[in-house]
Amino acid sequence: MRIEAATGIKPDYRSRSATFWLCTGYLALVTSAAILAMFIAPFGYNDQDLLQRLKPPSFLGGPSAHLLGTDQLGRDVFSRLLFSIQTSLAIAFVGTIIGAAVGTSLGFVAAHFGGIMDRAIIMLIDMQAALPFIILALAALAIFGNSFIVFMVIVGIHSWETYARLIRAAVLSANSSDYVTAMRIMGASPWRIYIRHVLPNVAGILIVQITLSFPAVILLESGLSFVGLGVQPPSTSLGLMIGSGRDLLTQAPWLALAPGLTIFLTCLSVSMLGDKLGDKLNVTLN
Amino acid sequence: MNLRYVLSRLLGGLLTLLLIVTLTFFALRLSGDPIQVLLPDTTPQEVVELYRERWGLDQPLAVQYVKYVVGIFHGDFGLAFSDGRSALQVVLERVPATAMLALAAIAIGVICGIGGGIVAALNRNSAIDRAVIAFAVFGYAVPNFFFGILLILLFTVKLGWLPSSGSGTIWHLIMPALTLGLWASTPLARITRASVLETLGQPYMVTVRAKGLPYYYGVFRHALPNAAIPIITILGLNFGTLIGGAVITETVFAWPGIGRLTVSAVANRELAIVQVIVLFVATIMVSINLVVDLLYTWIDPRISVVSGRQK
Repeated sequence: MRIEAATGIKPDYRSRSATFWLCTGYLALVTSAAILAMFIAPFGYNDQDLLQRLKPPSFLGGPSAHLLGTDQLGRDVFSRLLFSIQTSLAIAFVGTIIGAAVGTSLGFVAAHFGGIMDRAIIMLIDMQAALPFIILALAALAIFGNSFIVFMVIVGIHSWETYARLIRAAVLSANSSDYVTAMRIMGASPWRIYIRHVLPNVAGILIVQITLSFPAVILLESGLSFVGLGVQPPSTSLGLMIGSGRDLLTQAPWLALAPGLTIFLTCLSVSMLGDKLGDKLNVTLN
Repeated sequence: MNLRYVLSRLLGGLLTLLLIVTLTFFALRLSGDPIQVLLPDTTPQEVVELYRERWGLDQPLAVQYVKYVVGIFHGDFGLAFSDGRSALQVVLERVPATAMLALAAIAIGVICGIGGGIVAALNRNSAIDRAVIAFAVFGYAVPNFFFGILLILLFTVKLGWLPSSGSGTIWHLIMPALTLGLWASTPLARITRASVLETLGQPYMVTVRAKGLPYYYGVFRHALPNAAIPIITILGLNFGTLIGGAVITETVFAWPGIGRLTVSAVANRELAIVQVIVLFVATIMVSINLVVDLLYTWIDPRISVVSGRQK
Protein backbone atom coordinates (compact mmCIF):
# COMPACT_ATOMS: atom_id res chain seq x y z
CA MET A 1 0.00 0.00 0.00
CA ARG A 2 2.98 2.30 0.09
CA ILE A 3 4.76 2.10 -3.20
CA GLU A 4 1.70 2.89 -5.23
CA ALA A 5 0.85 5.84 -3.06
CA ALA A 6 4.38 7.07 -3.50
CA THR A 7 4.90 6.52 -7.17
CA GLY A 8 1.27 7.00 -8.10
CA ILE A 9 -0.32 9.98 -9.65
CA LYS A 10 -0.82 13.16 -7.79
CA PRO A 11 -4.40 14.36 -7.62
CA ASP A 12 -4.89 16.85 -10.39
CA TYR A 13 -7.14 19.49 -8.91
CA ARG A 14 -7.96 22.78 -10.53
CA SER A 15 -7.40 24.88 -7.44
CA ARG A 16 -4.67 23.36 -5.35
CA SER A 17 -4.83 25.96 -2.64
CA ALA A 18 -8.48 25.23 -1.86
CA THR A 19 -7.75 21.53 -1.28
CA PHE A 20 -4.72 22.48 0.75
CA TRP A 21 -6.70 24.74 3.07
CA LEU A 22 -9.56 22.28 3.38
CA CYS A 23 -7.19 19.49 4.42
CA THR A 24 -5.18 21.68 6.77
CA GLY A 25 -8.32 23.15 8.29
CA TYR A 26 -9.85 19.75 8.83
CA LEU A 27 -6.69 18.37 10.43
CA ALA A 28 -6.43 21.42 12.70
CA LEU A 29 -10.03 20.87 13.74
CA VAL A 30 -9.52 17.17 14.46
CA THR A 31 -6.27 17.76 16.31
CA SER A 32 -7.75 20.44 18.54
CA ALA A 33 -10.78 18.21 19.14
CA ALA A 34 -8.38 15.48 20.26
CA ILE A 35 -6.38 17.76 22.55
CA LEU A 36 -9.36 19.57 24.03
CA ALA A 37 -11.68 16.55 24.18
CA MET A 38 -12.17 16.69 27.93
CA PHE A 39 -13.13 20.36 27.79
CA ILE A 40 -15.38 20.25 24.73
CA ALA A 41 -17.21 16.99 25.40
CA PRO A 42 -20.63 17.71 26.89
CA PHE A 43 -20.72 14.28 28.59
CA GLY A 44 -18.22 11.75 29.88
CA TYR A 45 -17.51 9.09 27.26
CA ASN A 46 -18.83 6.35 29.52
CA ASP A 47 -21.76 8.26 31.05
CA GLN A 48 -24.83 6.12 30.51
CA ASP A 49 -28.38 7.35 30.34
CA LEU A 50 -30.53 4.30 29.80
CA LEU A 51 -33.65 6.36 29.24
CA GLN A 52 -32.00 8.02 26.24
CA ARG A 53 -30.92 4.93 24.30
CA LEU A 54 -30.35 4.96 20.52
CA LYS A 55 -31.59 8.53 20.04
CA PRO A 56 -30.83 9.88 16.56
CA PRO A 57 -28.57 12.93 16.08
CA SER A 58 -30.21 16.26 16.93
CA PHE A 59 -30.20 17.38 13.29
CA LEU A 60 -32.22 14.27 12.44
CA GLY A 61 -34.88 15.05 15.02
CA GLY A 62 -33.14 13.67 18.10
CA PRO A 63 -32.82 15.43 21.45
CA SER A 64 -30.87 18.69 21.23
CA ALA A 65 -28.53 17.67 24.05
CA HIS A 66 -27.01 14.90 21.92
CA LEU A 67 -25.53 16.43 18.76
CA LEU A 68 -24.72 13.06 17.19
CA GLY A 69 -27.31 10.99 19.04
CA THR A 70 -26.74 8.25 21.60
CA ASP A 71 -25.72 4.59 21.51
CA GLN A 72 -27.29 1.42 22.91
CA LEU A 73 -26.35 2.40 26.48
CA GLY A 74 -27.49 5.99 26.10
CA ARG A 75 -23.95 7.31 25.87
CA ASP A 76 -23.46 10.56 23.97
CA VAL A 77 -21.95 9.73 20.54
CA PHE A 78 -20.40 13.19 20.09
CA SER A 79 -18.50 12.94 23.38
CA ARG A 80 -17.42 9.39 22.60
CA LEU A 81 -16.28 10.52 19.16
CA LEU A 82 -14.10 13.25 20.68
CA PHE A 83 -12.40 10.85 23.07
CA SER A 84 -12.07 8.23 20.32
CA ILE A 85 -10.32 10.78 18.11
CA GLN A 86 -8.01 11.49 21.03
CA THR A 87 -7.13 7.80 21.51
CA SER A 88 -6.79 6.98 17.83
CA LEU A 89 -4.73 10.04 16.94
CA ALA A 90 -2.47 9.59 19.96
CA ILE A 91 -1.82 5.95 19.08
CA ALA A 92 -1.24 6.78 15.43
CA PHE A 93 1.07 9.66 16.33
CA VAL A 94 3.20 7.72 18.81
CA GLY A 95 3.13 4.65 16.56
CA THR A 96 4.34 6.60 13.54
CA ILE A 97 7.16 8.21 15.54
CA ILE A 98 8.30 4.85 16.92
CA GLY A 99 8.20 3.27 13.47
CA ALA A 100 10.14 6.14 11.91
CA ALA A 101 12.74 6.12 14.69
CA VAL A 102 13.27 2.34 14.65
CA GLY A 103 13.31 2.10 10.87
CA THR A 104 15.59 5.09 10.39
CA SER A 105 18.08 3.83 12.98
CA LEU A 106 18.17 0.36 11.42
CA GLY A 107 18.60 1.91 7.99
CA PHE A 108 21.58 3.93 9.25
CA VAL A 109 23.06 0.91 11.00
CA ALA A 110 22.71 -1.26 7.89
CA ALA A 111 24.29 1.33 5.64
CA HIS A 112 27.06 2.25 8.07
CA PHE A 113 28.27 -1.19 9.16
CA GLY A 114 27.50 -3.09 5.97
CA GLY A 115 28.59 -6.73 5.87
CA ILE A 116 26.76 -9.14 8.14
CA MET A 117 24.77 -6.41 9.86
CA ASP A 118 23.49 -5.17 6.52
CA ARG A 119 22.65 -8.70 5.40
CA ALA A 120 20.77 -9.44 8.61
CA ILE A 121 18.70 -6.27 8.39
CA ILE A 122 17.92 -6.87 4.72
CA MET A 123 16.83 -10.39 5.62
CA LEU A 124 14.48 -9.02 8.28
CA ILE A 125 13.12 -6.53 5.76
CA ASP A 126 12.48 -9.35 3.27
CA MET A 127 10.79 -11.42 5.93
CA GLN A 128 8.57 -8.54 6.92
CA ALA A 129 7.67 -8.05 3.28
CA ALA A 130 6.69 -11.71 3.02
CA LEU A 131 3.98 -11.39 5.65
CA PRO A 132 1.03 -9.01 5.57
CA PHE A 133 1.60 -6.82 8.59
CA ILE A 134 -1.80 -7.47 10.09
CA ILE A 135 -1.07 -11.23 10.25
CA LEU A 136 2.17 -10.49 12.07
CA ALA A 137 0.34 -8.14 14.41
CA LEU A 138 -2.34 -10.74 15.13
CA ALA A 139 0.28 -13.42 15.77
CA ALA A 140 2.04 -11.12 18.23
CA LEU A 141 -1.26 -10.39 19.98
CA ALA A 142 -1.97 -14.14 20.24
CA ILE A 143 1.47 -14.91 21.63
CA PHE A 144 1.93 -12.01 24.03
CA GLY A 145 -1.69 -11.33 24.89
CA ASN A 146 -3.46 -8.05 24.40
CA SER A 147 -2.06 -5.37 26.63
CA PHE A 148 -1.77 -1.72 25.80
CA ILE A 149 2.03 -1.93 25.67
CA VAL A 150 2.01 -4.88 23.25
CA PHE A 151 -0.54 -3.10 21.10
CA MET A 152 1.52 0.09 21.07
CA VAL A 153 4.70 -1.77 20.09
CA ILE A 154 2.87 -3.57 17.29
CA VAL A 155 1.44 -0.35 15.92
CA GLY A 156 4.87 1.22 16.36
CA ILE A 157 6.85 -1.27 14.31
CA HIS A 158 4.35 -1.00 11.47
CA SER A 159 6.19 0.11 8.31
CA TRP A 160 9.61 0.15 10.00
CA GLU A 161 10.91 -1.78 7.02
CA THR A 162 9.90 0.96 4.59
CA TYR A 163 11.86 3.54 6.57
CA ALA A 164 14.80 1.17 6.92
CA ARG A 165 14.86 0.45 3.18
CA LEU A 166 14.53 4.13 2.20
CA ILE A 167 17.08 5.42 4.68
CA ARG A 168 19.56 2.65 3.92
CA ALA A 169 19.43 3.48 0.22
CA ALA A 170 19.64 7.23 0.89
CA VAL A 171 22.62 6.87 3.23
CA LEU A 172 24.43 4.55 0.83
CA SER A 173 24.05 7.06 -1.97
CA ALA A 174 24.99 9.96 0.32
CA ASN A 175 28.10 8.06 1.44
CA SER A 176 29.35 7.94 -2.11
CA SER A 177 28.63 11.61 -2.74
CA ASP A 178 31.25 14.32 -2.85
CA TYR A 179 30.05 16.35 0.11
CA VAL A 180 30.34 13.36 2.44
CA THR A 181 33.79 12.57 1.10
CA ALA A 182 34.75 16.19 1.73
CA MET A 183 33.46 15.99 5.31
CA ARG A 184 35.38 12.80 5.85
CA ILE A 185 38.60 14.31 4.55
CA MET A 186 38.13 17.19 6.95
CA GLY A 187 38.09 14.61 9.72
CA ALA A 188 34.43 14.60 10.75
CA SER A 189 33.32 11.49 12.65
CA PRO A 190 30.78 9.24 10.90
CA TRP A 191 28.02 10.05 13.39
CA ARG A 192 28.59 13.75 12.99
CA ILE A 193 28.29 13.34 9.24
CA TYR A 194 25.09 11.32 9.62
CA ILE A 195 23.36 13.52 12.15
CA ARG A 196 24.45 16.92 10.90
CA HIS A 197 24.65 16.36 7.17
CA VAL A 198 23.04 13.17 5.86
CA LEU A 199 19.93 13.24 8.05
CA PRO A 200 18.91 16.78 7.01
CA ASN A 201 19.39 15.70 3.41
CA VAL A 202 17.10 12.69 3.73
CA ALA A 203 14.57 14.59 5.86
CA GLY A 204 12.35 15.22 2.83
CA ILE A 205 12.01 11.51 2.11
CA LEU A 206 11.38 10.86 5.78
CA ILE A 207 8.63 13.47 6.07
CA VAL A 208 6.82 12.26 2.96
CA GLN A 209 7.04 8.67 4.15
CA ILE A 210 5.62 9.73 7.52
CA THR A 211 2.58 11.26 5.82
CA LEU A 212 2.13 7.95 4.02
CA SER A 213 2.41 5.73 7.07
CA PHE A 214 0.33 7.90 9.39
CA PRO A 215 -2.95 7.00 7.62
CA ALA A 216 -1.79 3.39 7.39
CA VAL A 217 -1.23 3.33 11.15
CA ILE A 218 -4.67 4.83 11.77
CA LEU A 219 -6.21 2.16 9.53
CA LEU A 220 -4.26 -0.59 11.31
CA GLU A 221 -5.29 0.59 14.76
CA SER A 222 -8.92 1.03 13.81
CA GLY A 223 -8.96 -2.28 11.93
CA LEU A 224 -7.62 -4.21 14.91
CA SER A 225 -9.94 -2.37 17.28
CA PHE A 226 -12.83 -3.01 14.91
CA VAL A 227 -12.41 -6.78 15.14
CA GLY A 228 -12.05 -6.47 18.91
CA LEU A 229 -8.32 -7.12 19.15
CA GLY A 230 -7.07 -3.57 19.58
CA VAL A 231 -8.14 -0.92 22.07
CA GLN A 232 -10.34 -2.59 24.67
CA PRO A 233 -13.45 -1.19 26.39
CA PRO A 234 -14.03 0.79 28.57
CA SER A 235 -11.47 2.77 26.55
CA THR A 236 -12.76 3.86 23.20
CA SER A 237 -11.30 4.38 19.76
CA LEU A 238 -12.66 5.12 16.30
CA GLY A 239 -12.35 1.50 15.17
CA LEU A 240 -14.00 0.23 18.34
CA MET A 241 -16.93 2.62 17.81
CA ILE A 242 -17.46 1.36 14.26
CA GLY A 243 -17.19 -2.21 15.50
CA SER A 244 -19.91 -1.79 18.08
CA GLY A 245 -21.99 0.25 15.65
CA ARG A 246 -21.85 -2.55 13.07
CA ASP A 247 -24.40 -4.65 14.96
CA LEU A 248 -26.87 -1.78 15.14
CA LEU A 249 -26.74 -0.63 11.54
CA THR A 250 -30.47 -1.00 10.98
CA GLN A 251 -31.56 0.82 14.13
CA ALA A 252 -28.77 3.38 14.53
CA PRO A 253 -26.58 3.87 11.45
CA TRP A 254 -25.06 7.06 12.94
CA LEU A 255 -23.10 4.96 15.45
CA ALA A 256 -20.86 3.61 12.69
CA LEU A 257 -21.12 6.52 10.27
CA ALA A 258 -19.75 9.24 12.56
CA PRO A 259 -16.43 7.52 13.43
CA GLY A 260 -16.12 6.05 9.92
CA LEU A 261 -16.36 9.45 8.27
CA THR A 262 -13.87 10.84 10.77
CA ILE A 263 -11.29 8.18 9.89
CA PHE A 264 -11.91 8.62 6.18
CA LEU A 265 -11.52 12.41 6.22
CA THR A 266 -8.45 12.26 8.46
CA CYS A 267 -6.63 9.73 6.27
CA LEU A 268 -7.69 11.58 3.13
CA SER A 269 -6.41 14.92 4.44
CA VAL A 270 -3.08 13.55 5.61
CA SER A 271 -2.37 11.68 2.39
CA MET A 272 -3.40 14.61 0.18
CA LEU A 273 -1.18 16.97 2.15
CA GLY A 274 1.59 14.38 1.92
CA ASP A 275 1.20 14.29 -1.87
CA LYS A 276 1.52 18.06 -2.03
CA LEU A 277 4.49 18.03 0.30
CA GLY A 278 6.12 15.41 -1.91
CA ASP A 279 5.60 17.65 -4.95
CA LYS A 280 7.00 20.60 -3.11
CA LEU A 281 10.07 18.84 -1.74
CA ASN A 282 10.36 17.06 -5.08
CA VAL A 283 10.73 13.71 -3.41
CA THR A 284 10.26 10.45 -5.26
CA LEU A 285 10.20 7.45 -3.01
CA ASN A 286 11.60 4.11 -4.09
CA MET B 1 14.77 -18.94 -18.52
CA ASN B 2 17.88 -19.03 -16.45
CA LEU B 3 17.89 -22.11 -14.19
CA ARG B 4 20.38 -20.65 -11.75
CA TYR B 5 18.19 -17.61 -11.31
CA VAL B 6 15.14 -19.78 -10.60
CA LEU B 7 17.05 -21.90 -8.09
CA SER B 8 18.48 -18.92 -6.24
CA ARG B 9 14.99 -17.41 -5.97
CA LEU B 10 13.59 -20.71 -4.72
CA LEU B 11 16.32 -20.99 -2.11
CA GLY B 12 15.72 -17.41 -0.97
CA GLY B 13 12.02 -18.16 -0.54
CA LEU B 14 12.72 -21.29 1.50
CA LEU B 15 15.15 -19.36 3.69
CA THR B 16 12.52 -16.73 4.41
CA LEU B 17 10.07 -19.45 5.42
CA LEU B 18 12.64 -21.13 7.68
CA LEU B 19 13.32 -17.77 9.30
CA ILE B 20 9.63 -17.28 9.96
CA VAL B 21 9.34 -20.80 11.43
CA THR B 22 12.33 -20.06 13.67
CA LEU B 23 10.97 -16.75 14.87
CA THR B 24 7.57 -18.31 15.56
CA PHE B 25 9.21 -21.05 17.60
CA PHE B 26 11.20 -18.66 19.77
CA ALA B 27 8.31 -16.23 20.15
CA LEU B 28 6.12 -19.11 21.30
CA ARG B 29 8.70 -20.26 23.84
CA LEU B 30 9.28 -16.69 24.99
CA SER B 31 5.61 -16.16 25.63
CA GLY B 32 5.71 -18.55 28.56
CA ASP B 33 5.35 -22.18 29.50
CA PRO B 34 2.73 -23.79 27.24
CA ILE B 35 1.95 -26.22 30.07
CA GLN B 36 0.84 -23.39 32.31
CA VAL B 37 -1.44 -22.07 29.61
CA LEU B 38 -2.95 -25.49 28.97
CA LEU B 39 -3.31 -27.11 32.38
CA PRO B 40 -5.15 -25.62 35.32
CA ASP B 41 -3.09 -24.23 38.21
CA THR B 42 -4.18 -27.02 40.54
CA THR B 43 -2.68 -29.79 38.37
CA PRO B 44 -0.45 -32.09 40.47
CA GLN B 45 3.29 -31.78 39.82
CA GLU B 46 3.59 -35.38 38.50
CA VAL B 47 1.02 -34.71 35.80
CA VAL B 48 2.82 -31.52 34.79
CA GLU B 49 6.08 -33.48 34.55
CA LEU B 50 4.36 -36.16 32.50
CA TYR B 51 3.08 -33.60 30.00
CA ARG B 52 6.48 -31.96 29.87
CA GLU B 53 8.08 -35.26 29.04
CA ARG B 54 5.45 -36.23 26.49
CA TRP B 55 5.81 -32.95 24.60
CA GLY B 56 9.56 -32.93 24.93
CA LEU B 57 9.56 -29.71 26.90
CA ASP B 58 12.14 -31.16 29.31
CA GLN B 59 14.70 -31.35 26.51
CA PRO B 60 17.22 -28.64 25.59
CA LEU B 61 15.90 -25.79 23.46
CA ALA B 62 18.00 -26.80 20.45
CA VAL B 63 16.54 -30.33 20.47
CA GLN B 64 13.04 -28.91 20.81
CA TYR B 65 13.71 -26.61 17.87
CA VAL B 66 14.89 -29.40 15.59
CA LYS B 67 11.91 -31.55 16.58
CA TYR B 68 9.61 -28.62 15.93
CA VAL B 69 10.98 -28.00 12.43
CA VAL B 70 10.94 -31.72 11.57
CA GLY B 71 7.37 -31.92 12.87
CA ILE B 72 6.31 -29.08 10.62
CA PHE B 73 7.76 -30.86 7.59
CA HIS B 74 5.57 -33.82 8.55
CA GLY B 75 2.52 -31.62 8.80
CA ASP B 76 2.45 -31.76 12.59
CA PHE B 77 1.48 -28.31 13.84
CA GLY B 78 -0.03 -29.28 17.14
CA LEU B 79 -3.63 -29.50 18.27
CA ALA B 80 -6.34 -26.92 18.71
CA PHE B 81 -7.00 -26.36 22.43
CA SER B 82 -10.76 -26.11 22.15
CA ASP B 83 -11.62 -29.43 20.51
CA GLY B 84 -8.28 -31.25 20.26
CA ARG B 85 -8.43 -31.56 16.48
CA SER B 86 -5.33 -31.05 14.38
CA ALA B 87 -4.72 -27.34 13.91
CA LEU B 88 -3.82 -27.91 10.28
CA GLN B 89 -7.19 -29.56 9.73
CA VAL B 90 -9.04 -26.65 11.35
CA VAL B 91 -7.29 -24.17 9.07
CA LEU B 92 -7.63 -26.24 5.88
CA GLU B 93 -11.39 -26.46 6.39
CA ARG B 94 -11.58 -22.69 6.05
CA VAL B 95 -9.48 -22.45 2.91
CA PRO B 96 -12.25 -22.91 0.30
CA ALA B 97 -14.33 -20.01 1.62
CA THR B 98 -11.36 -17.65 1.65
CA ALA B 99 -10.12 -18.88 -1.73
CA MET B 100 -13.54 -18.18 -3.22
CA LEU B 101 -13.65 -14.70 -1.72
CA ALA B 102 -10.07 -13.96 -2.77
CA LEU B 103 -10.60 -15.11 -6.36
CA ALA B 104 -13.75 -13.01 -6.72
CA ALA B 105 -11.96 -10.04 -5.16
CA ILE B 106 -8.94 -10.42 -7.43
CA ALA B 107 -11.21 -10.59 -10.47
CA ILE B 108 -12.95 -7.37 -9.38
CA GLY B 109 -9.64 -5.77 -8.48
CA VAL B 110 -8.03 -6.59 -11.82
CA ILE B 111 -11.02 -5.54 -13.90
CA CYS B 112 -11.57 -2.26 -12.03
CA GLY B 113 -7.95 -1.50 -11.21
CA ILE B 114 -6.04 -2.43 -14.35
CA GLY B 115 -8.99 -1.76 -16.64
CA GLY B 116 -9.71 1.58 -15.00
CA GLY B 117 -6.05 2.55 -15.06
CA ILE B 118 -5.66 1.77 -18.77
CA VAL B 119 -8.87 3.57 -19.73
CA ALA B 120 -7.83 6.58 -17.64
CA ALA B 121 -4.38 6.72 -19.21
CA LEU B 122 -5.73 6.43 -22.76
CA ASN B 123 -8.19 9.25 -22.06
CA ARG B 124 -5.89 11.52 -20.15
CA ASN B 125 -7.52 14.57 -18.53
CA SER B 126 -10.98 13.44 -19.56
CA ALA B 127 -13.89 13.03 -17.17
CA ILE B 128 -13.17 9.29 -16.95
CA ASP B 129 -9.57 10.02 -16.02
CA ARG B 130 -10.65 12.39 -13.27
CA ALA B 131 -13.14 9.85 -11.96
CA VAL B 132 -10.46 7.13 -11.80
CA ILE B 133 -8.04 9.50 -10.01
CA ALA B 134 -10.68 10.49 -7.49
CA PHE B 135 -11.53 6.82 -6.97
CA ALA B 136 -7.86 5.98 -6.35
CA VAL B 137 -7.29 8.88 -3.94
CA PHE B 138 -10.49 8.28 -1.97
CA GLY B 139 -10.06 4.53 -1.97
CA TYR B 140 -6.74 4.86 -0.20
CA ALA B 141 -8.36 6.67 2.70
CA VAL B 142 -11.49 4.58 3.27
CA PRO B 143 -11.03 1.82 5.83
CA ASN B 144 -12.28 -1.34 4.11
CA PHE B 145 -14.48 -2.25 7.08
CA PHE B 146 -16.15 1.13 6.81
CA PHE B 147 -16.68 0.63 3.09
CA GLY B 148 -18.24 -2.74 3.87
CA ILE B 149 -20.56 -1.07 6.34
CA LEU B 150 -21.58 1.52 3.75
CA LEU B 151 -22.40 -1.33 1.35
CA ILE B 152 -24.51 -3.03 4.02
CA LEU B 153 -26.32 0.25 4.70
CA LEU B 154 -27.11 0.65 0.99
CA PHE B 155 -27.84 -2.89 -0.19
CA THR B 156 -29.25 -4.45 2.96
CA VAL B 157 -30.75 -1.71 5.08
CA LYS B 158 -31.92 0.68 2.36
CA LEU B 159 -32.64 -1.50 -0.65
CA GLY B 160 -32.99 -4.91 0.99
CA TRP B 161 -31.35 -6.66 -1.96
CA LEU B 162 -28.48 -8.53 -0.35
CA PRO B 163 -27.97 -10.46 2.90
CA SER B 164 -25.70 -8.56 5.30
CA SER B 165 -23.74 -11.56 6.54
CA GLY B 166 -23.18 -15.27 6.30
CA SER B 167 -22.41 -17.48 3.32
CA GLY B 168 -23.92 -20.16 1.16
CA THR B 169 -25.29 -18.44 -1.92
CA ILE B 170 -23.77 -16.26 -4.61
CA TRP B 171 -25.68 -13.31 -3.08
CA HIS B 172 -23.68 -13.62 0.11
CA LEU B 173 -20.45 -13.35 -1.86
CA ILE B 174 -21.23 -10.09 -3.65
CA MET B 175 -20.66 -7.54 -0.88
CA PRO B 176 -17.52 -9.06 0.70
CA ALA B 177 -15.98 -9.52 -2.76
CA LEU B 178 -16.83 -5.94 -3.73
CA THR B 179 -15.40 -4.60 -0.48
CA LEU B 180 -12.17 -6.49 -0.83
CA GLY B 181 -11.88 -6.17 -4.61
CA LEU B 182 -12.52 -2.43 -4.90
CA TRP B 183 -10.23 -1.79 -1.95
CA ALA B 184 -7.45 -3.78 -3.64
CA SER B 185 -8.09 -2.12 -7.00
CA THR B 186 -7.24 1.45 -5.95
CA PRO B 187 -3.44 0.99 -5.86
CA LEU B 188 -3.66 -1.01 -9.09
CA ALA B 189 -5.54 1.82 -10.80
CA ARG B 190 -2.95 4.36 -9.69
CA ILE B 191 0.05 2.36 -10.78
CA THR B 192 -1.50 1.16 -14.05
CA ARG B 193 -2.42 4.69 -15.07
CA ALA B 194 1.04 6.04 -14.23
CA SER B 195 2.79 3.14 -15.91
CA VAL B 196 0.74 3.22 -19.12
CA LEU B 197 1.09 7.00 -19.35
CA GLU B 198 4.83 6.59 -19.12
CA THR B 199 5.05 4.05 -21.93
CA LEU B 200 2.69 6.09 -24.12
CA GLY B 201 5.23 8.90 -24.02
CA GLN B 202 8.14 6.71 -25.13
CA PRO B 203 9.86 7.31 -28.49
CA TYR B 204 8.97 3.83 -29.74
CA MET B 205 5.31 4.80 -29.58
CA VAL B 206 6.06 7.67 -31.96
CA THR B 207 7.84 5.17 -34.22
CA VAL B 208 4.81 2.91 -34.18
CA ARG B 209 2.62 5.82 -35.25
CA ALA B 210 5.15 6.98 -37.83
CA LYS B 211 5.17 3.52 -39.39
CA GLY B 212 1.49 4.11 -40.01
CA LEU B 213 0.27 1.38 -37.65
CA PRO B 214 -3.13 1.92 -36.06
CA TYR B 215 -3.13 3.59 -32.61
CA TYR B 216 -4.65 0.69 -30.74
CA TYR B 217 -2.24 -1.77 -32.33
CA GLY B 218 0.56 0.28 -30.78
CA VAL B 219 -1.22 0.38 -27.46
CA PHE B 220 -1.85 -3.34 -27.18
CA ARG B 221 1.30 -4.59 -28.89
CA HIS B 222 3.82 -2.17 -27.43
CA ALA B 223 2.58 0.14 -24.67
CA LEU B 224 0.78 -2.38 -22.45
CA PRO B 225 3.48 -5.10 -22.40
CA ASN B 226 6.06 -2.50 -21.48
CA ALA B 227 3.84 -1.12 -18.74
CA ALA B 228 3.33 -4.58 -17.26
CA ILE B 229 6.29 -4.86 -14.86
CA PRO B 230 5.22 -2.33 -12.22
CA ILE B 231 1.63 -3.50 -12.56
CA ILE B 232 2.61 -7.10 -11.85
CA THR B 233 4.73 -5.97 -8.90
CA ILE B 234 1.74 -4.26 -7.36
CA LEU B 235 -0.50 -7.19 -8.21
CA GLY B 236 1.87 -9.48 -6.30
CA LEU B 237 2.10 -7.12 -3.34
CA ASN B 238 -1.66 -6.84 -3.49
CA PHE B 239 -2.03 -10.46 -2.52
CA GLY B 240 -0.61 -9.62 0.86
CA THR B 241 -2.88 -6.65 1.22
CA LEU B 242 -5.76 -8.83 0.12
CA ILE B 243 -5.05 -11.47 2.77
CA GLY B 244 -4.69 -8.75 5.40
CA GLY B 245 -7.89 -7.15 4.17
CA ALA B 246 -9.68 -10.49 4.27
CA VAL B 247 -9.16 -10.67 8.04
CA ILE B 248 -11.25 -7.53 8.48
CA THR B 249 -13.67 -8.00 5.58
CA GLU B 250 -14.58 -11.53 6.66
CA THR B 251 -15.33 -10.21 10.13
CA VAL B 252 -17.60 -7.47 8.76
CA PHE B 253 -19.66 -9.94 6.75
CA ALA B 254 -19.30 -12.98 9.03
CA TRP B 255 -17.73 -14.86 6.11
CA PRO B 256 -16.52 -18.26 7.39
CA GLY B 257 -12.96 -18.10 6.05
CA ILE B 258 -9.42 -17.98 7.35
CA GLY B 259 -9.65 -14.29 8.22
CA ARG B 260 -12.42 -14.81 10.71
CA LEU B 261 -10.73 -17.92 12.04
CA THR B 262 -7.62 -15.82 12.66
CA VAL B 263 -9.55 -13.25 14.65
CA SER B 264 -11.26 -15.85 16.83
CA ALA B 265 -8.04 -17.86 17.24
CA VAL B 266 -6.19 -14.75 18.40
CA ALA B 267 -9.01 -13.77 20.74
CA ASN B 268 -8.92 -17.26 22.31
CA ARG B 269 -5.13 -17.45 22.10
CA GLU B 270 -5.24 -20.66 20.08
CA LEU B 271 -1.52 -20.58 19.41
CA ALA B 272 -1.36 -23.75 17.29
CA ILE B 273 -3.96 -22.38 14.89
CA VAL B 274 -2.38 -18.94 14.72
CA GLN B 275 0.95 -20.55 13.93
CA VAL B 276 -0.52 -22.61 11.08
CA ILE B 277 -2.14 -19.49 9.66
CA VAL B 278 1.10 -17.50 9.83
CA LEU B 279 3.00 -20.24 8.01
CA PHE B 280 0.18 -20.76 5.54
CA VAL B 281 0.03 -17.07 4.64
CA ALA B 282 3.82 -16.80 4.51
CA THR B 283 4.03 -19.81 2.17
CA ILE B 284 1.44 -18.28 -0.14
CA MET B 285 3.21 -14.93 -0.12
CA VAL B 286 6.63 -16.45 -0.78
CA SER B 287 5.23 -18.54 -3.65
CA ILE B 288 3.52 -15.50 -5.15
CA ASN B 289 6.70 -13.46 -4.91
CA LEU B 290 8.49 -16.29 -6.65
CA VAL B 291 5.89 -16.43 -9.42
CA VAL B 292 6.07 -12.65 -9.80
CA ASP B 293 9.87 -12.81 -10.06
CA LEU B 294 9.65 -15.50 -12.72
CA LEU B 295 6.96 -13.57 -14.57
CA TYR B 296 9.34 -10.60 -14.71
CA THR B 297 11.97 -12.62 -16.50
CA TRP B 298 9.38 -14.01 -18.86
CA ILE B 299 8.07 -10.54 -19.72
CA ASP B 300 11.45 -8.87 -19.73
CA PRO B 301 14.35 -11.33 -20.22
CA ARG B 302 16.85 -8.56 -19.44
CA ILE B 303 16.05 -8.89 -15.73
CA SER B 304 17.34 -12.44 -15.24
CA VAL B 305 20.51 -11.67 -17.21
CA VAL B 306 21.27 -8.59 -15.12
CA SER B 307 20.62 -10.20 -11.75
CA GLY B 308 22.50 -13.31 -12.90
CA ARG B 309 25.54 -11.13 -13.46
CA GLN B 310 25.28 -9.56 -10.03
CA LYS B 311 25.44 -12.92 -8.31
